[in-house]
Amino acid sequence: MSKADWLKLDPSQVSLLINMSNWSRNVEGAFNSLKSDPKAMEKALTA
Amino acid sequence: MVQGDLDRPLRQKIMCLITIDAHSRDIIDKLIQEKCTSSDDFQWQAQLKAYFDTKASDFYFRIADAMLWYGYEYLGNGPRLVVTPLTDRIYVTATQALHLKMGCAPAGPAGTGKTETTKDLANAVAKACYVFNCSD
Repeated sequence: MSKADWLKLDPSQVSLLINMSNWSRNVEGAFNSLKSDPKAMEKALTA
Repeated sequence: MVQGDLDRPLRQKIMCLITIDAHSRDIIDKLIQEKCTSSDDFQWQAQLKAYFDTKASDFYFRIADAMLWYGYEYLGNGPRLVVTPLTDRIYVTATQALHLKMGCAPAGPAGTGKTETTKDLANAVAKACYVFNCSD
């Protein structure tokens, strides 16, 4: 489901929390894959 | 999406998300500029980050050494402050003080955002925030 869709489903407080959690997970995932993919952080920028 | 016909609550929510996502984008940009390669790097550690604990089935936040559970305070659908590098610094300072069971006393001229920043940090972690004016 795209972000534009899921953010409409829940109350604001829940959407903001999930959004922040996704961001933290994406960036940490990018850190973990930096060795195999040097462009991982740039990809996280557009995720 | 925002140029379409949105009801007021959804528009407010999207405004908050854009504000927060702009900061998130700036942080990733800074991580790239400063060539951070590990999640232990200070630039990343100094950010307020949300995680889901699968064992406790609950959300928590990490910032430097501090760990805070999501507070579940009802916040409604209000606006959020734009997070600047200075805001990031006070977030680190205030949360480390809390972590060490101490207080935090932001100081500065009137109207510079000390109270609003404190309220926004409380909002970010869904904790209750009460503002008292002791001179009244």
